[in-house]
Amino acid sequence: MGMRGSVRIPRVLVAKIGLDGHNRGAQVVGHGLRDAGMEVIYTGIRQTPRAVAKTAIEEDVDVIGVSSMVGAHLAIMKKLKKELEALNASDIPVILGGIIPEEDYGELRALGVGAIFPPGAEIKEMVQYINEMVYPERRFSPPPSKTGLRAVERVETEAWVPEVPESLTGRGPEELHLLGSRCDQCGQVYFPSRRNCPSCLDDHSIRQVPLSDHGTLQTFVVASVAPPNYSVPHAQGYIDLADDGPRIFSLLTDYEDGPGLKIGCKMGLKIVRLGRDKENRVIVGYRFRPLKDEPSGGKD
Amino acid sequence: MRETYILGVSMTRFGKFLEKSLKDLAYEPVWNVIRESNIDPHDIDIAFVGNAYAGLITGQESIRGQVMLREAGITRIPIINVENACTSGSTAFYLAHLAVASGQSELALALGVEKLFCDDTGKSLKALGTSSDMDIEGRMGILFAGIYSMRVRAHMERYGLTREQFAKVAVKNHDHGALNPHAQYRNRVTLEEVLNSRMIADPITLLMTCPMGDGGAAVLIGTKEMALRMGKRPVRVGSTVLGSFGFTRKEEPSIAARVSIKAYQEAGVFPRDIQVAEVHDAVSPVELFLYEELGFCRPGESGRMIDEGVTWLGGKLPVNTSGGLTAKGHPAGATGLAQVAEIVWQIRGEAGERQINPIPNIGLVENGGGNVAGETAVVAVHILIA
Repeated sequence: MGMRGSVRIPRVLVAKIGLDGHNRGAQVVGHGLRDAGMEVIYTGIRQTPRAVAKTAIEEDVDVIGVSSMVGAHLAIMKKLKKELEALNASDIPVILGGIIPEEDYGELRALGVGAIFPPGAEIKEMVQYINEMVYPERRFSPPPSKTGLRAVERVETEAWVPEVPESLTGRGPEELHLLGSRCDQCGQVYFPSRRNCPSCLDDHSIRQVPLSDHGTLQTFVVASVAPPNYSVPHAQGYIDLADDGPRIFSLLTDYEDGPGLKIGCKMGLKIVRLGRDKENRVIVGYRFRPLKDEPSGGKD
Repeated sequence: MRETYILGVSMTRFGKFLEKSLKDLAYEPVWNVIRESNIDPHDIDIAFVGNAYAGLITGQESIRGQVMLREAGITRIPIINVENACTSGSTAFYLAHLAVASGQSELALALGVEKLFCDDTGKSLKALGTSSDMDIEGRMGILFAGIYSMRVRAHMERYGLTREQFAKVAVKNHDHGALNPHAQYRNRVTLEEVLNSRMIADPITLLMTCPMGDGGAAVLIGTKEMALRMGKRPVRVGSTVLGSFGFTRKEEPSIAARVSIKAYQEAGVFPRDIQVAEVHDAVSPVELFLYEELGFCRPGESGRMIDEGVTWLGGKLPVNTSGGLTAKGHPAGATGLAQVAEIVWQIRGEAGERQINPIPNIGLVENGGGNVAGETAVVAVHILIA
């Protein structure tokens, strides 16, 4: 996607093919992938291989995940492969989950199935697999760690939860971006991500988009009072995100050294860890801080 | 829809009344409006009760209206509980008007009561903070003085309003409050005192902010016949409009502007026809923005209005003759109805030492509450006409 601060969100087609009504697994996986920040398109049950192949192309997905529970996996995978080839789309990776006997793994791999997730497979394994496929460059890049430790494995699997629901997306607490929604009909961009466009009142044209990690300070306050459990001074502001992004409300940080805060000054995103929730997930929040002079810099 | 008229109006003094319960604060204004209106209280056929925070402060989360009216003896009829943050009282007024206008009711009671003081200030502040989206802005310690301060700074940057102009609004409202026996603060303050009082959220100082408060206010709304029978100058509800926040784009009119335009249209009047106004000066600079949003002047000209004394008692368009929220006090659920009471007293010539002369015929109330997505969550505008 080129621009710094922009990131592609993986799009996954979760598909049920043939006379197989066991949809619970597909739905659980679909929700899990969505919770991990992916865009999930679910076909519903009893689709034909051709319909699935066509949907995959129309929705421009990064991967097709087929769920099979009734033993027809070899037959449907053969047909799906044929349909994808016929539509000149055999480059779309296909993965498979469900009741798949191990003795069929070899034949499925030969048909081009990239990964197989049998009963007991965890969502995070699927998330990791898909992320590595969509962001191949990151797989080998060193972690952005100041300690010098190789933190990739830990970071990728560390469970996290955003302070503000639907506000962040990314692989783990060390590598997150603001998540918004854009309505393709009216062009309005919202933060945090939302289910429909309140202007068009329509949920067809809304899609999640990553937002810029910098912007300009529209207005701010450094208050000498704060609500219970917050420290003073209590600094808040509205930031107009770059690339025609929305205006977002944020706590401000790291403003005491350097040039300080001024209406119109450049601000950069800072992801902060705020403790852990009851399930021991890292709670991560977003803050904004003044940038020295480089308007596109997110890290220093 | 038929025309509706305001009968009796009443409020308690606003202030810190730790010993008074919600029922105590409801009793006095309810029975004042019943006696003043010259009606049979058995004829009240619906009641709307506005309150914002009693659930969090006193624990009376549910059926607050029924509990508050229990002691007053108003039972059996439909009692509808209304919560819309600091606009709860105005929302009760809006609904009482609709009930009579639609013909469903003949005589509707609007009551607003709030107890913000308790033995724990943190508890009160936390309760006030819930007037935001607790999933989003509320997660980041939203502070209303902070929200207002941000608006003030953006406005100063754009139009060059000064700290002195903001402070003058507080001086004016304290001057007015000194004349109002219902006001929480009846002391005058000087420009220097306002500017030098403790900084809360730059440029907002302590004396530019409204205090926490306890209090109650009530209004009876009925038909034209009832208003004539009452014997006082009839005051008609010209319009009452309620609106909510939108995902307003950067150059679109704000919620207060949107709601007031509709209110002017429905009442068939223009901003220049308004002769007295009560507006939501939760912090005094906001009163200046409201002059602009309500169409009393052009954007950026509100500073000149306060400098020229237009909105002081004796000026062409006195604003917040009651003392406004900053001097009269701001018990959230009662505020909207207390604003209506002030306009009605002015139109009836009953405003005592702070009476506008000549007596006005058309007044406006603006009341706001809460904050969502960077905009006031609820705004009500009522236009009252003699």
